[in-house]
Amino acid sequence: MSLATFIGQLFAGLGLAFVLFFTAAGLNLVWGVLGVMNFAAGSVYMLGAYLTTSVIARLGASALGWTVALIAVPVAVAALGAVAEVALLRRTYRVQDENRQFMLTLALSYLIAGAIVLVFGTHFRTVSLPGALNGGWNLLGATLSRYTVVTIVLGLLVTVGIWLGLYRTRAGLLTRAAVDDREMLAVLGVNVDRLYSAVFAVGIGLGALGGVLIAPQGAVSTNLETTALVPAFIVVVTGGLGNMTGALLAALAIGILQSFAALHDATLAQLTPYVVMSVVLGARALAGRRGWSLTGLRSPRGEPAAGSTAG
Amino acid sequence: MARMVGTGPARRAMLADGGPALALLALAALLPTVASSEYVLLAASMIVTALTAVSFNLLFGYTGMFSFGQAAFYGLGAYATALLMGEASLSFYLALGGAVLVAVVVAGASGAVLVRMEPVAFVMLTFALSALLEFGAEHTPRLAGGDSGLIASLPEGLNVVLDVNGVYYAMLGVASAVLAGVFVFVRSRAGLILRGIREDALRARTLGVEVERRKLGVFALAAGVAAVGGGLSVLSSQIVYPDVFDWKISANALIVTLLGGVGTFSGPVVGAVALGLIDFYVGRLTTDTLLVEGLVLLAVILLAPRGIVAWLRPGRGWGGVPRRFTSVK
Repeated sequence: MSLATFIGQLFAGLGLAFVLFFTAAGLNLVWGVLGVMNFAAGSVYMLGAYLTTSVIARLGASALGWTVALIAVPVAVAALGAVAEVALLRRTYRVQDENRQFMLTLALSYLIAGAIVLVFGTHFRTVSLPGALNGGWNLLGATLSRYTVVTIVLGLLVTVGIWLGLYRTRAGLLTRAAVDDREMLAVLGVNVDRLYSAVFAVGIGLGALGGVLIAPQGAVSTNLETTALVPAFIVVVTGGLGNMTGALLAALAIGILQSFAALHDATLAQLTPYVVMSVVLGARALAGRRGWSLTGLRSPRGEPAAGSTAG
Repeated sequence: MARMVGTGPARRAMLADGGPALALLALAALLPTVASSEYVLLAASMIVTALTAVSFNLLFGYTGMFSFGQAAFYGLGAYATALLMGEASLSFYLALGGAVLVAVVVAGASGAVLVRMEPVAFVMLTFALSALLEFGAEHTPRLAGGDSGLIASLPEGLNVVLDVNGVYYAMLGVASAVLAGVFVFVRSRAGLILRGIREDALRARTLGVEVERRKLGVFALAAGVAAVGGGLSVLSSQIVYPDVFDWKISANALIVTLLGGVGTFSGPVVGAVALGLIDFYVGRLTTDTLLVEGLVLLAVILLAPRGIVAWLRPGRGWGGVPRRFTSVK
């Protein structure tokens, strides 16, 4: 393999990895803090892609159109998420029942997908990139798609943003405290309800951002829901439920390996997530861990994670 | 048999649990004499849905294992039945038996890992299993026909175009036998142990129950039931596409079970009939069944978590328990 091919595939893989990480990070955040496995993440991703086609149809595939899409779509979908959290999930926290919550998010995903069919129909749509992002830049003989580079930069920004948000802000401090002891936080005068809504909205918004970024990469169709969910679930399980660092590493491993596998065979590339997951889970089982989760925002039994803030 | 039938209250409980399903099966047997083939085909699709839901209910309702991948075994049942008939020239019933065996073996192998996962990972990975099999069906054109699907070579006696009622009664007969078997199982000691695991896995373990082995067993049993559903679907659809592995089939089993009554024997059967009717009549107004099914699911979770069966029982209302779908660990 020449250096140019190597660099080209590595960049394509990083681009894949960050799109995967957006949805997985949203799932992890919501699971870690609210204890809800959000099945609607797939339909939210699809909604992000469809709304992008609307925005671009109105404003054109210009720099302006894409800037608006990148900002307005995740924010609008996040607002929808906050509404859904208040209307559906809020009443379920008192009796912690992860199955009921999963079912509620499943119902939500049906409603979103149904609304998409109602509004956009079942035909697929496409959007094009602004002219400035077509084509590529040269690096050591490799042609890097400008769009992929933008995706990677955005991915890095969001990753750093999540980390700073969780570990360097007061909101992040409270979020981590809510994982440890929701009641105590409420007693201390923190509006936990509002915090939960905000966390759910951010998680949903991250998924929608992934949808915006994937929109120009192929047909925007009702298949997007499944194509987003399966790899995102695999990334989350491979990285350890609620574990952000684990999810990032898993997304990077899967994205990059998938990109190199695609050099040989497209089918093999699509199997990569399953292979990586099997290897990681197998290795973890062989290492003799009793639980399947690494340390994370929330440990398997819903108890605060070992070594987290409250001592 | 004596222990199963019991006396007094036990017998009444058994009748209340099995009665609605039995009544629906009796109605189903009479249907072709009074209704057109359109309704017979609708009832045939309900039979298939009911089996998938019974399979889901065995795991979730009785054992507390939330599988979101029963489509995996439904689809395996459909493909294996069609393949065994086409490639191995087996008769339909032998092929169906073979398909059940395939599903049970796959469930045994995958379940050995899956039943040890924490509950949320179990949900996600059963889902991933069905997606993996769908991918496999799409990418093995020589074996499974790829995207264009696999045409089943059905004998004339079981051709739905030639003889709707013959096919319908074949499906109803097989489904009734499976339902009877499941009824005996869930009311047996083994079924009781599963409910014990659902209520308190730790206590069951302390009492000497091998929880993982029991879970693996019911996972394989449920896979077999779902495979019968998939195998029977071959009769009415005649072609098997990769979308037999679609997660909406797993979700449908969940919706139907909840609508009918989770953890009850008749629930999935009642739910399959109810959702079948809703989809059939709403389908005349709109093609957007996703929206309709989403609303049904939402309404059941929020308003009637115990389902229709609870409402049929005298003196019990729609709401009330279960407040939780998750057992106390």
